[in-house]
Amino acid sequence: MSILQDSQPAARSQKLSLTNILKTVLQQREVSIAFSVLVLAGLLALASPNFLNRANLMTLIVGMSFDMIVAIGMTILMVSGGFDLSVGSTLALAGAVAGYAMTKFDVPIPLGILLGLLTGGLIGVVNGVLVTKIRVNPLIATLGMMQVVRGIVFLVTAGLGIPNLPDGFNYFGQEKWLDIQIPVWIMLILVVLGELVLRRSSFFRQSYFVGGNERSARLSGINVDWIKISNYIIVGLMAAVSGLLLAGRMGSASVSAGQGAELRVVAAVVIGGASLSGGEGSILGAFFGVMLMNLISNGLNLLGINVYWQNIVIGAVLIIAVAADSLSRRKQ
Amino acid sequence: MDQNHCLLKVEGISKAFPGVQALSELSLEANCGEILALVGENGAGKSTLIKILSGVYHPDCGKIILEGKEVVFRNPLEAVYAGISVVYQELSLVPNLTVAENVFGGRPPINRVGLMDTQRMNRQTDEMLAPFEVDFGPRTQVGLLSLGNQQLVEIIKALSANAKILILDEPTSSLSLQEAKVLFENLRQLRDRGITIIYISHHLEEVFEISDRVVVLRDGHYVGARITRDTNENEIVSMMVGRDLGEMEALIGTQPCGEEILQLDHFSRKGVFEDLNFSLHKCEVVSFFGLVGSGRTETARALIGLDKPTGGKVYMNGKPIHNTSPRAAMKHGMVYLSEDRKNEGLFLDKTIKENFLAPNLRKVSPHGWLHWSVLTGLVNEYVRMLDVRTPSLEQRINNLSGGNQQKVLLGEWLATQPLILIVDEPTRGIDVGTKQEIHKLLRVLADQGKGILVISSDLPEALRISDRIVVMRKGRIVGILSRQEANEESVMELAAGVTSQEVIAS
Repeated sequence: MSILQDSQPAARSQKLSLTNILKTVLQQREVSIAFSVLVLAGLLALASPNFLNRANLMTLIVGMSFDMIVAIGMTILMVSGGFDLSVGSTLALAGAVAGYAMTKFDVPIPLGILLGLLTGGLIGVVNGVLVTKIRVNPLIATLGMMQVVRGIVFLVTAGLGIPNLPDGFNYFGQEKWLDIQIPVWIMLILVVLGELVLRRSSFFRQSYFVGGNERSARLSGINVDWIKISNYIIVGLMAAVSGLLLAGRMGSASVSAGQGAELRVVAAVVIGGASLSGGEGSILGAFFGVMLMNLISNGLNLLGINVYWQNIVIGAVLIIAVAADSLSRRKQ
Repeated sequence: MDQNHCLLKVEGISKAFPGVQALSELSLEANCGEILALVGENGAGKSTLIKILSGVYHPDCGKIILEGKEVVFRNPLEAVYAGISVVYQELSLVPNLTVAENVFGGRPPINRVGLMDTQRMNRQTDEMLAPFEVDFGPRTQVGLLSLGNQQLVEIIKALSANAKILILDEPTSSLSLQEAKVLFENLRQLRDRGITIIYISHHLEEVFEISDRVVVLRDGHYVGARITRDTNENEIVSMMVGRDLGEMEALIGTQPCGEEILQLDHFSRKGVFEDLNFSLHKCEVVSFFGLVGSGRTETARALIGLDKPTGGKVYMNGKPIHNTSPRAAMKHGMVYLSEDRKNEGLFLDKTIKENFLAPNLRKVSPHGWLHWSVLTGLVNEYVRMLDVRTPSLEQRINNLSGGNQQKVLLGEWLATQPLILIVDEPTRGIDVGTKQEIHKLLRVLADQGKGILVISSDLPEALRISDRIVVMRKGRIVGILSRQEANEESVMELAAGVTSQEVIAS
């Protein structure tokens, strides 16, 4: 009941009809992007007999898991209005640090993995503090960081990478559980977990408010700087997980690991519905976005198109995704 | 003034947005050389109408006839070329450019070599400034001007595009009384030069001071037009709300003043406000009144931890507290609703439900996990209590009228069950009907035992709702008046420092 005497009928809840539900479902970004994935897969199946080949599909899904793991962190960060270009370098450094510790100092494998994760987390802390406390523009802060970290990778490995990683470490990159590669399992677990916490946990939910309107978020009792820093740490950790798995898969930590990953991941996350200005995005959407990017590369390979075209296509897709984002915003 | 010569005619304009019919079959006329006031509650359709006239929106149906010819504006530029310019509430000047550069904007005069002809630009601006009494020139940097003068620059900019119709949207909202007077003088001068002015304002006193004719809108419909000197405020208000509001009688609490809940002891922030001593009691509504720059908002911001105080103490229920962030203040049950609800308070792109979620995250997330059903229950309760008019809880805040936005903001904070509510300009830019509802609400909340601190620049409002009025001037409390002692004269004298100046003079 209204506590004001001269009140009018109060708001009605929206009617639940089948058409309304259908409309809402179709309006979801995830649905339309999943649809695009299906269409593209269908086209590829028609264009190339090898596409539906089991080996090709497995390569495709293992290949996407490294980008996807990074994309989980990137989605959470972009929802809170942040941005990280250093993920590709972080990925490489995590592998290199773990590899260096395990091959040069013979540290046990779990400790090597821990050191790799710590490296990623630490880079996240530096990025986060630069952006929130010192107020460096995120684009510049992480662009610089990308260069610095890549330089450290070359220093640590003397420019050569670290070969002959221990078998126990390589296990996670190369073996299968239930006939599916371990990186794929880890990606799936992290996607489900990420989607769940971003939707339902009160801690991660705060990112939507921080990205939506920072000043309002602060007044609503949200510790804005802490949310941002922790999101940079999460991205760093995710990049490290991806880097460790990739090093294990290759059996060596490569100096060029993760080069260009930042662009592919940002493009995928934006395609998946995140906005560069923050406040929007979902991990499920990013999942389909990464899938779409990987389908495109896979298709170009299968159709025998010069690999150099891939860079052009990825760059163009990024621009188109952001352009579509800004056009749809203008219409509102 | 040629009352018969119709310059602009709007015929049967309709415009719908998802869930809202903003304008329906609206028709009106504006004559050459008149000041036409456009009034109506929030959501009456004024903004939509302006946006259609200025080419921002396209009407679903209906015609715009300018000087006898039908016109269709595909974009704002076409409207400007046709002679319709709008000066919005938020000014669109570039602060680090000069007055002349701002006036000419994207189309400066060019000299023979093809470069910007600064001299000619300055000379022409000087000519445009000449009829107005101003103490700045074409070369002054706009950022250095007062808000009133910036607005004049904006008006001249509009005129430089040969505007025949000038639309002003709440032009006095950020001006001092003195600046508003100057603005009115300038507007009359423009009218006498044959320019038609459409003036939008919530302040009826202003409307009666400046306009020749008043057009009233309600719920997207044209209600009627009156010659200003043949009508009165009561008639216009009842046209606006569609019912008689009755007198704006004082709202007095039903509960006696309770124990002290908040106490400021020599509370200071150097150079902003100093040595504030004051207490707030349960069941009490206290207003902070003062002129612009008196330090009221700054006091509130320091209280809730947005700014750092430099001295003094704050006690809540007798215990010293020290808020270092709004989060800390919330934990103590002290919340603040900013005067700038769009930038500091609401999330415009998000739904009503999500807006409620922001300050209530903890409340609806036992063990850290969100329970949407708990949230929905909470939102429903407060949306009903405050009578927020919306087709659904999933409506984006952007699509609500100003009054309903303010209700959502109030509701989401009430849901946190605060002990002390600090509301900054609770009814700024809000229609008469909703304003009354909010006044009653604040009283009801006080009667429930909360302490309410209101910061208001609207003196009749402060007098109506407050048990006591704290008057601030230049960062200091210059008087605390009880309801019996407070009236327009006594409060204004303190706020403006009239009496003390007289003392010094004698």
